[in-house]
Amino acid sequence: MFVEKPLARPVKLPDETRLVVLISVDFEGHWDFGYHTDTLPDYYDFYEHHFDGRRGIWRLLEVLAKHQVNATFFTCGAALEEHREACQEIEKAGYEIAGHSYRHEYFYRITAEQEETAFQQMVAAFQDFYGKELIGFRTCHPEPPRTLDTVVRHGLRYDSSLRDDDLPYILQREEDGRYLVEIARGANGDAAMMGTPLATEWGSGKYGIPSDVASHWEAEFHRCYQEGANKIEVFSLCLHSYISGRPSRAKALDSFLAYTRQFPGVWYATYAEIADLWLKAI
Amino acid sequence: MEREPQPTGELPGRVVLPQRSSVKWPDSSRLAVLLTFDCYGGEAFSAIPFVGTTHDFGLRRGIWHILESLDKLEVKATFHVPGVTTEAYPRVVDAMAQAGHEVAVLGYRYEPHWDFTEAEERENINRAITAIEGVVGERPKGWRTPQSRPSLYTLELLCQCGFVWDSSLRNDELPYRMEFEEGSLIEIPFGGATDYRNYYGFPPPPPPAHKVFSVWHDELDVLYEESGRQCSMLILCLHPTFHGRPAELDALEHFITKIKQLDGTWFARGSDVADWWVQNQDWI
Repeated sequence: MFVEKPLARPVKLPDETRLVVLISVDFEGHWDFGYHTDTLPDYYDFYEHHFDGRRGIWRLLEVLAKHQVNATFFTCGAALEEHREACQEIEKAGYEIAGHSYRHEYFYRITAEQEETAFQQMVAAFQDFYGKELIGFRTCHPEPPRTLDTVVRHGLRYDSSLRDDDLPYILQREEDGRYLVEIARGANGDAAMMGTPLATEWGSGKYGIPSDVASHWEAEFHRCYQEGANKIEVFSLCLHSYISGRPSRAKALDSFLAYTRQFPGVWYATYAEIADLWLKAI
Repeated sequence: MEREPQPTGELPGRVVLPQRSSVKWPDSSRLAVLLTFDCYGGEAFSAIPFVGTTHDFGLRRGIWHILESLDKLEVKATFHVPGVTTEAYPRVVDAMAQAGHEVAVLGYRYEPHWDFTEAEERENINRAITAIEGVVGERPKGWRTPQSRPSLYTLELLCQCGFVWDSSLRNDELPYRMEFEEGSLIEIPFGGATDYRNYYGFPPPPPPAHKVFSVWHDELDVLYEESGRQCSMLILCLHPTFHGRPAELDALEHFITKIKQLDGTWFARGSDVADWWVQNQDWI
């Protein structure tokens, strides 16, 4: 069981920070495709996702580099193995790489044992690629309650699976007192707003208008920025390279990032940086 | 032959990707533009679709507006037509070919191929070829699998049946080669944000025409800008039922006119791209 632990002292952001912007990319390397039968992929959905490692990730990296904003890539273990070159580019550019299951397993659909196996495969792929400690994790929505235990058992510092807040918060496991920072993902993302290819329980299969979506993001950003004058505000944007790597979506992202770049005092942080700041305030 | 997907889930076949920076288009063009139309109505389904005759507008009326418009703008397109639709509308398919457009296949019916046995699928492909050859007078060279849902056999069967190119997969923005024991096929991928299916159709409402086309203008802006560094390809997937209506056709005409005003754009049919790709293997 986890309980929320109130902060003992205020979080100290770097000087002059008015707004924290968290940009994340779920890099799945095609593994979130739907199936026609138990074993046969739905090749319509499969190849839309397969654009991810082939082209999408590269275009997205170009847009992020153009605006020199930091980001966190929640990357599937299998994508680390299969898209080495792209992942090396991500690392070289200084972005954080965090975990996003192995082959985009939906943990709510599988047993605890299968979840543990997928988690171990993800950690192993991460170790093999990075040789560093894995700090953070995002599940493939939605997260079953047991997953927070899995994340803590593997020694991670933060989780970014939940959707219930716009500020990070601290969870404490009652059994052993261990802490976990929950950096809930906000409502701003490309999957829900730009649309995903297949009609599923998550989406209609219809696409939004990217320039309209970018206007919406600007409105959200602007309000957060105004409120950031008096209190801590975090604006988060969750992207997928198979979606936002398509030309019209990349253009919308490009225009949104250019908009945010006009405002002084915006800190484009990684999730790990935010987790560490919050842990210092316990 | 029993087939399995590759360990990554990909279809069988060896993928040969181009060196992107080496790709060139004819006449120093920088952006290839493919206007492809998925042309089918209610006749293309085994059961009467619940949308009734809604999609029949496309081949009964919409296509004539489109052909007139393409003629006026002097651009050639690729029409993907199911075999059964060709049997129902021979005069339309003949007019497409007579006007210099390419008639390619969209299955025998507009239904996924994923549940066919190999023998059923071979028969289905051959029926589609026979229907189109009967009207156009020559075997079709290009294929698109309905709904982008091929089976594990489709691409190899296409190769065996003499197709030069396929446009079923949605994972890239430049063509690539797929190799099989019997030979190879040029894949001309499409999809993403430029497929009508993701905006129109059921359930309604679709976005207004100018909204959908604003997305396609954005796609063009990005691809054209990038094509200054390396050649790229814009491929639209359109539908006569939707794009034969006045507001959509108007928006399409504006879009084509804008592309024509840009330097270095090449309006190509599927076979133009596939033939060029086959002739220029050196960039691979």
